[in-house]
Amino acid sequence: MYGLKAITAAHGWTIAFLGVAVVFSTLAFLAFIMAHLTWLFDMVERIPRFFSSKRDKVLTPKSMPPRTQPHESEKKVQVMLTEDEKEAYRFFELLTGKLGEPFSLQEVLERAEELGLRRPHYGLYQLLKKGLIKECEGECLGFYCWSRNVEVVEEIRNKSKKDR
Amino acid sequence: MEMILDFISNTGFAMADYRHVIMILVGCLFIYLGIARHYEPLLLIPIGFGILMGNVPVFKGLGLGIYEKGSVLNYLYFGVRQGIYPPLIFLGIGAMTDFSYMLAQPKLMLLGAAAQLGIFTTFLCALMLGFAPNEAASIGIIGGADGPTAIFLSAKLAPELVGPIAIAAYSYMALVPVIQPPIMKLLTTREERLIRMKDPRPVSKRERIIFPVVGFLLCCFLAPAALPLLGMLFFGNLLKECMVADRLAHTARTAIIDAITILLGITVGASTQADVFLTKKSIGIFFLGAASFMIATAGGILFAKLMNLVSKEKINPLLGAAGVSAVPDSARVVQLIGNREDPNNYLLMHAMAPNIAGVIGSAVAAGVLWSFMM
Repeated sequence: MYGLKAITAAHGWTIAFLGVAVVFSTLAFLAFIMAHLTWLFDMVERIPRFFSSKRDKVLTPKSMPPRTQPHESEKKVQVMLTEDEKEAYRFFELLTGKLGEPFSLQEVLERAEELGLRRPHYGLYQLLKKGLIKECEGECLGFYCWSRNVEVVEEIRNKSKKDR
Repeated sequence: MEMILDFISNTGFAMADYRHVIMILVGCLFIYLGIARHYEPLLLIPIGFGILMGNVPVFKGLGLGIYEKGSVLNYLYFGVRQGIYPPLIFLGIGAMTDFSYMLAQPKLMLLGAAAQLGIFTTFLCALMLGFAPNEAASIGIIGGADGPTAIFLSAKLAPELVGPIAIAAYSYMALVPVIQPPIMKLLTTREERLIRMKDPRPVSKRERIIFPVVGFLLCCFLAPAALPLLGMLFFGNLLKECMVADRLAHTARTAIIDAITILLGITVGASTQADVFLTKKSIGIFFLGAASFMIATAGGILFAKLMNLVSKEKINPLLGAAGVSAVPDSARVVQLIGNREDPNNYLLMHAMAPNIAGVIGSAVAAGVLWSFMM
């Protein structure tokens, strides 16, 4: 059998129409889900953040004072940063301000990657190395916060001269 | 003297006829295109040599030919007949492919769907020309420009046509740089070819890990017959993206895919024995395959133009041509054509999105056709 008759006899029109419809709807549905995945992630992230902010309120008086208030006897340490480190410092300061303290390093890194920061691991590592970010103690062990007794300066005053 | 005459009559020279010569020339052409022109050398060289192996005339009954039970080639051909090799190739492709271009611009996935129009149009054309529905479905899938998918579907639906279909599919895949550019130029204006695309957004690691799982479940729930191909594709990609199974991902994208490509190429090539291959049907398959490929290219381009009519953000219609799943050749052709008009227009990463969507689309199309023909 040839021609249009052959198509009709083999249900060709139905198969072709359904085939096109299935392929289109599969990829369109997949595209829709993937386009909304970031939105879904944000929603999922907000839930633990909501609870952690509540937990923060409960924990702050007991376990968190060192991270927010530098001890009077503690000297302020001055550190100098390179241009790249300064950029990372400003970026992470803003980001953690939004996320709230204490923060998880993993979460901060993921957010930084999403927001397109160049070499986020390196930047965060430098801030940790220079003591600008420290691990919390007590019940918040495993989370991190900004160290308040470290100061970023443009130039470090020469201590040895001053001491003399 | 009689022994000498016997020996001479048993040599390939005495048994060969013009059909063997034609096929040997085709095999040599494939090898030439692979080596000298760099057209898909990893595929054309094994297939070309396989054609030579399959077309050395041998005595039937000695257990040498690929179609003779018990022969070595017949054992190797088992992987083609049963559709074992194509999913393993997909595993390797999944472990090599970076889906992030597609995830960054999900709307370009629709171009990969549009390019599958070639499959269904050719299916109808093949029915019109008198092919049986199973054969028509196998011929139509050539338009997906995906060799493993074409082999998989034809092994399931029309095993006797695996040779011509595979050869047609791989030939057109290799000829992407020749077939697509004229269609792309014909269907687009210079202004359209000059359209620049926005930079894709960065895709997080978490998205890249979740995608293979979500993609697999969604596609296979909608088209379960695509399970062997898509399952392996997404599994391979999960191995790559999860970063904790690097050894497996590395093996999938190197040792496994290379070994299977060799076996697939050699056996598909050897299956083109002159007496089985040189038939009217094969010629019909080659014509329909070419038509299918062209319609697929045109379908993608025209759909991109259609999207431009309704979307605020313009898409370069050349990207539609990358909807056929010849990865990454059709994306490279898009980049080349775009670059000719504007040397600073970088379309390659954007073209990878419909290109990869095309792989998924053609596997879904194969699954749909298989389920209808079962």
